[in-house]
Amino acid sequence: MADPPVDDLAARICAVQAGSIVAAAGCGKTEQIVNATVQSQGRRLILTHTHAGVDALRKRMREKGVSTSQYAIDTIAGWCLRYAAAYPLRSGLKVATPKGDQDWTAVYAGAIALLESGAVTQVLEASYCGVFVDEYQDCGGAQHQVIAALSEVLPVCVFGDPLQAIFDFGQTPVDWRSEVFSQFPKLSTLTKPWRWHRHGNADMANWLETVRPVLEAGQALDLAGRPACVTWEWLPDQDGPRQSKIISTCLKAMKGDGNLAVIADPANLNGRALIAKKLGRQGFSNIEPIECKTVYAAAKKLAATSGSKRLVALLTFLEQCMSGVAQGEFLKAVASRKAGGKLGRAKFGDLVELGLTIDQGAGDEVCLALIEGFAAQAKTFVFRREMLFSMRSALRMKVAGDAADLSDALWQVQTKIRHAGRQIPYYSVGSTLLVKGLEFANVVVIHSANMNNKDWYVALTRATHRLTILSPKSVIAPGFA
Amino acid sequence: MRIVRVEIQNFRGIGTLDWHPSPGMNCLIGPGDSTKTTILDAIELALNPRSNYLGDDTDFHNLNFDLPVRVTVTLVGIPAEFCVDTRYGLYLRGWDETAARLVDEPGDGLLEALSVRVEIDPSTLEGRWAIYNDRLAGDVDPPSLRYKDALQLATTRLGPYAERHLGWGRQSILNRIGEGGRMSEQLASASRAARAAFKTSNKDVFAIPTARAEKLGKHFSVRVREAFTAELDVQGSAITSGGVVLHDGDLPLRTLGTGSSRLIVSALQHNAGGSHIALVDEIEHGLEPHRIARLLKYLRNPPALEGDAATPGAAAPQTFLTTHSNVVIRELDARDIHAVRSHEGRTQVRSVEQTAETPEVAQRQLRASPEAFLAQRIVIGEGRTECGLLRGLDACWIAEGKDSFALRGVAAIDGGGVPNAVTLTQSLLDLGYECLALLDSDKPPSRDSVAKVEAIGGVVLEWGDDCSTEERIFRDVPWATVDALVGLAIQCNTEDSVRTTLRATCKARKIAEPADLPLPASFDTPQHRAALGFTAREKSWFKTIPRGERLAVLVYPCLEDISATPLAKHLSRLRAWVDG
Repeated sequence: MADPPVDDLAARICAVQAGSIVAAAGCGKTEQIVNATVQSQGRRLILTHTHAGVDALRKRMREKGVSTSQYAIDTIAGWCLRYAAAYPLRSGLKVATPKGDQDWTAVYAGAIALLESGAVTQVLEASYCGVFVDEYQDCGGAQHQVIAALSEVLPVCVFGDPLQAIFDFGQTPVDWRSEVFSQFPKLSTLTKPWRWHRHGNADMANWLETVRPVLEAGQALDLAGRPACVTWEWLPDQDGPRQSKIISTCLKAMKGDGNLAVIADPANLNGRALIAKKLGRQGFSNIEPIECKTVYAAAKKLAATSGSKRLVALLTFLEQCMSGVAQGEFLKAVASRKAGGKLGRAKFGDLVELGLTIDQGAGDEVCLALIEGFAAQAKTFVFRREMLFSMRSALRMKVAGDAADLSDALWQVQTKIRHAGRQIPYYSVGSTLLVKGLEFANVVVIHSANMNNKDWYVALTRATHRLTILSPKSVIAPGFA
Repeated sequence: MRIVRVEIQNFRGIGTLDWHPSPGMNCLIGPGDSTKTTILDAIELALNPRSNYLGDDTDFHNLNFDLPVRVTVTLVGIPAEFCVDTRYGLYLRGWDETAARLVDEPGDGLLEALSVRVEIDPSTLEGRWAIYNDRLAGDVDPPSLRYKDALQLATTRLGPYAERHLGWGRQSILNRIGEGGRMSEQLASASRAARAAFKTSNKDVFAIPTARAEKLGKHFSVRVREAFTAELDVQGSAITSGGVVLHDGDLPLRTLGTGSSRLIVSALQHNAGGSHIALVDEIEHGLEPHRIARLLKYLRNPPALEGDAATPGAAAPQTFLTTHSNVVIRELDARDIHAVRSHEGRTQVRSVEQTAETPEVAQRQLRASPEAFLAQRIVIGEGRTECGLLRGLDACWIAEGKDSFALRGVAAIDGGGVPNAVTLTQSLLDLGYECLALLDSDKPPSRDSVAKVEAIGGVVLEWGDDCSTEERIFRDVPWATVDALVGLAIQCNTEDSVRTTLRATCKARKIAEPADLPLPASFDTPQHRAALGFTAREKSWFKTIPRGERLAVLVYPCLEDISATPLAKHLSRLRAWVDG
């Protein structure tokens, strides 16, 4: 054959009526999508899950010089909403701006009803020559049904990796063996880890290639065969030593070039926050889930309280976000000021005055001022930057009268973040759910019993250059999912 | 592409209109001021968006500025690229062809439809074009129609005069055919050639002023670089596309007669490609009947040109035309013809075919009396005798100085006997015509059908006494007129046949048989009058339209003398209706 095999695959992807590509991490999945889009006769609909994913795909298309008339990129949710809302009679969709999970379930159901009604068949045929779906492992059942309904009208090829299917608690992923492959027969598996070869890290590439089948089979992974760029260190059991080992390892890992992510217990947000807090002075910060429950709870409390209770709620929230707040000391300073004293004046300065006005019933404007005052203090280190940012923006919106209440403002802020894409801190602490799809120069993986084989595969494939693994044993035996 | 629904609100003569046109030909007929042309104008306005369009006060119905002018045109068979989701794919509607119903969203068994709406704002008079559907209702900023897409919707209009399409000026149909790109190049070089030719020509006439200017210039120290000459001005002599027109040899085509140029332009319009919608004003304008027929045939089924991609069997283009010509009506099918009526600002368009009992009936009526469909009011004579009688009476009334039927917007037609005459009256009433039916009573129509006609405003005149028209006349006229009528019967038939048939009737009725004609006064008995009437009818003495007309000439003079008779009473009611 004259054509190189890679291009041949792109041609097959273009031609397939219904198919799937399994792509191991860093194996050129996006590249394939771009190449197949270039070869497509007509406009290709490319769906993915997150706005960040949309942006990344768009960027790659631009870099490759693909004309925007060749493709349309959207999130599955966004696309479903656009279509279902355009034809409410056929979709049965009632909400125009879905907020919670329930609304989104209705959006997917609406999109399925619309597609099955045949009302948009001509529109789809006129609009697209076919559909690619990226990160298919992140699809839930409803999303899979949408794509299946789409494939009744248009050729569909899905891309993903069942081994990277990581879900939040309570979500059920689509099952590849019983659901995906039956609908979209496997066309090919991409196994060559191009990403590390591109970074000149052939050792890591080769090692990861051997790691994958072990984890895929749910076997124990012996780190004995690791290359030099992968470090393993023993993680003590007891809390104290364990914590100090983590901190010292992170500090060591910071010395490597480039950014750093610490991947820790997926089930313990507070545990992760604690690591960030300890390293706040060094500029570590948490990667927050976008729909962060902590901030919602804080907002609710702020909205429900007033006076001294409100001041306490606000300070408690601030302590969750930054170190150096010293709630007790501050409250004493406020009490002293109330009585005409000058206690804590030197440490907190004008903040005491603000605290007092809140204590005496001041509103959101003063709360905002106090948050900003604390954030600006030299001795405070913010380790949950996203959470603080969300609250600050929400309060600002509320003060400006752009939102009915604080929860609504928060929702608006988070929607904006979802669209604009979040800023990942240079030194960050997160879980596999929060770092999937991202890459970092340096990664520290902290063993946790809550990590299964998929978590481990995702964790081990995030570092481009140096990987440090902290675990009780050098043989890792994760649960099989 | 074709229009399936036209909705008009507050536009010129039309307060409201909601109409589902037919796929092919839509020939609009109706009396003057029934807003036929306004419908064409509205369609043209909606499908030809212009930037900076300004309407004027008269665009508003009854100068009502409380409401915007609003025209909504719904199309099916739209180009596939319109259905792309980034264009209009998410604003489509569904058209149910069998039920002639618009659903706001497409769906199973529905055709994808797109509605385009233009609104003229009463305060600014600005025209705004946008996509419309019920989901977008109330949207302050509905999606607009792209300029490029609007070009695909553009209608062609064949107005009374077509000259502008015979040159390459703005909006000429010629610009839509072939490659326009190289034209400016060609024109620029023609301009240059003209300047060059002028340069080398003998410019004696310009010599003196030129020399004077140069001399005076030097006098005032104006620097002369070479020498002053007279040349064609680049701007003044630029040749524009509007200056290029079609010629036949040396003769510009615009010198053709109105009809010929309209024919050529119409053909060009249909050949310009695309599945466009054609609007034609007064299609008969400037054309002899045979050329009308040919143009109509062409419009209904334009032949594909050589090398044209048009697929055989493709739907004929949709055409909207107005006419006042019975030639046009006779040439068309019932399904092509739509009656337009306007009543207190409410315009209604009804299909002739769908209003009739069956398509065949509609077709027969059109062929039989096309002119009736152009009138406002119609008198239906039951058969040929009655029709002739009516027309003859018209002539008599005119001679007496009364208004003619035509002046009163009335046409008299042959109803084709009972029960046809009644069903015809019924469907004409349904189409919006005012109708009076003049019926025999010897074979009376069913009471039901008469009641139905009367219920929707029709007037039915029946002779009564189980009389046919002939029997009524022979019964009611003075004996002298009876004499004259017998004379007419002899003229129309033969003396022999009239006598023989009359004798046969008398014999059958066991009354005295006349020996000879004319009848002596002794035969002036009710029985003999009845026998005369019966024989006249049975033997069709007067059963053609011209005979009926002559009948009227004889009967008319005596009407005043017999004003108490049913005959005279009915005819004066008829006259009153005509004058009403």
